[in-house]
Amino acid sequence: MGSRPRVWLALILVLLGVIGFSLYPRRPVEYRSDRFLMDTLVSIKVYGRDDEKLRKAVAEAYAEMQRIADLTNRFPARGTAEHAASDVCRINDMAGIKPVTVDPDVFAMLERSRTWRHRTGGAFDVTIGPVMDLWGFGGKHPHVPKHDELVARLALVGSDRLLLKSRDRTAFLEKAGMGLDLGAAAKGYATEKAMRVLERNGIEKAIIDAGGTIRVLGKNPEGTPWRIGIKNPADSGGILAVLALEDSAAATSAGYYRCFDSGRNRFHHILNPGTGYPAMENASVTVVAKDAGMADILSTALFVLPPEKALETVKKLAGVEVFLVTVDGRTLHGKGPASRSVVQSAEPEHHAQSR
Amino acid sequence: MRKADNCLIVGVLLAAALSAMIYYRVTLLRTDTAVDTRAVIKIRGRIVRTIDLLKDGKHAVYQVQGSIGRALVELDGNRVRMREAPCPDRTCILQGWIERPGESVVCLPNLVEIRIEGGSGLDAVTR
Repeated sequence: MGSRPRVWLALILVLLGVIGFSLYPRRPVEYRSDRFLMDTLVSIKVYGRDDEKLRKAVAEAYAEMQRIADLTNRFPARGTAEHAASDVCRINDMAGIKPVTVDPDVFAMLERSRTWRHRTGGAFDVTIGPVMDLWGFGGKHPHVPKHDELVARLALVGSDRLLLKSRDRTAFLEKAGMGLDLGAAAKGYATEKAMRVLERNGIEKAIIDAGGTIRVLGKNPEGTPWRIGIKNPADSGGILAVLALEDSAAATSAGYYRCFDSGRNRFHHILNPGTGYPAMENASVTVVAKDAGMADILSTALFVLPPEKALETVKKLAGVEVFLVTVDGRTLHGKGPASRSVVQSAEPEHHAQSR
Repeated sequence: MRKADNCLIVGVLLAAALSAMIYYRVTLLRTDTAVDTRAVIKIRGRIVRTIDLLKDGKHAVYQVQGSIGRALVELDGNRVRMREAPCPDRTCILQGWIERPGESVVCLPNLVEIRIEGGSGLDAVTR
């Protein structure tokens, strides 16, 4: 007998252990959680080894999104705790009265929004609140307002009368009746912040889908870029194209959500701050950028601009790519310097036309 | 004795290699060639029904009870849609048919979600 067989046996066991161990990392744990937040369904998927750690990271990410949601919610009734906790409500209440000290994140959102208003020639404006209210978006019965009423409300729109003082971190709307609406900025900003929370918790692979605003971290669990479809805005539905994304964000603004029919026309909630009416030239605009907050704001701003103007704007923006479908069905694509194309496949044949 | 040992070692190594191959093959098959997709219906985040989506599958209408009322989910072979819903804005109905993994229809007022899962489809859809 001797000790030979036992040595071999030990070696075999070690070998099996090595094989087993080398197979183990191929199966990262997935943790997925859905939550209704910011008037939409937010789903977070994270991957890693330690289930407990994943749960904790996702819980913290949701808490961060909830915090941003509470700070920017402009609908809670006066006198409620939610109203008092909302910086946007406080700023709106104090319009024309006095500046309000705000949370650093709210301040950052307002500064950024103002910058983008400037860079897009006024196509994006967070002081659109009074006009949104007149249309009734956010309420139960949106309707087409009378033209003269609209003109009167439009006089209350303009971020040049939103005063921001970075030294004491205050925000002030100069004229009574003015009102902020961060609906086109807060979701993307919150998504970006949530991803930062995941990263701080040591997560290396994750995807956040906040009602169609997508932010991905690393590669997908199969080790390839994440595959993100762009919804076809045509009535037939389906997928317009597939993006391959790593460490970046995609956001879409489209006329197919939050809309209502009146007479022969359909009206949606993305208003042109210049006219007060829904922007009618684009059916959907998808923006790919590094930062979800930027993608969110830009998708709205470019949706409002005429298609050619939108493409022109993107040409100057590093790392940004846009996919635009006009109401007459043209699909346009543009990108800024240093952005590599992320289109993996476009299959309009099968998906757009077969149905 | 020695010879038997060697046989054993070779046998075990082969078995290990084989199982590793099978394992990899299985994962490859699962991620690349699987065509079976299914529609998952959730209410308040909880799965209430799973429907297999087959290319020449049947046509059917399923009734689910959401937060504010009854909704009808229509199956047509390999695609599904929200056919009727009690929500005021009807956003979910207007979204039309979905069929690719990663696509979803969400009815916020009613807290009903239909999502396509499985296959080697999309990780998400921007909309």
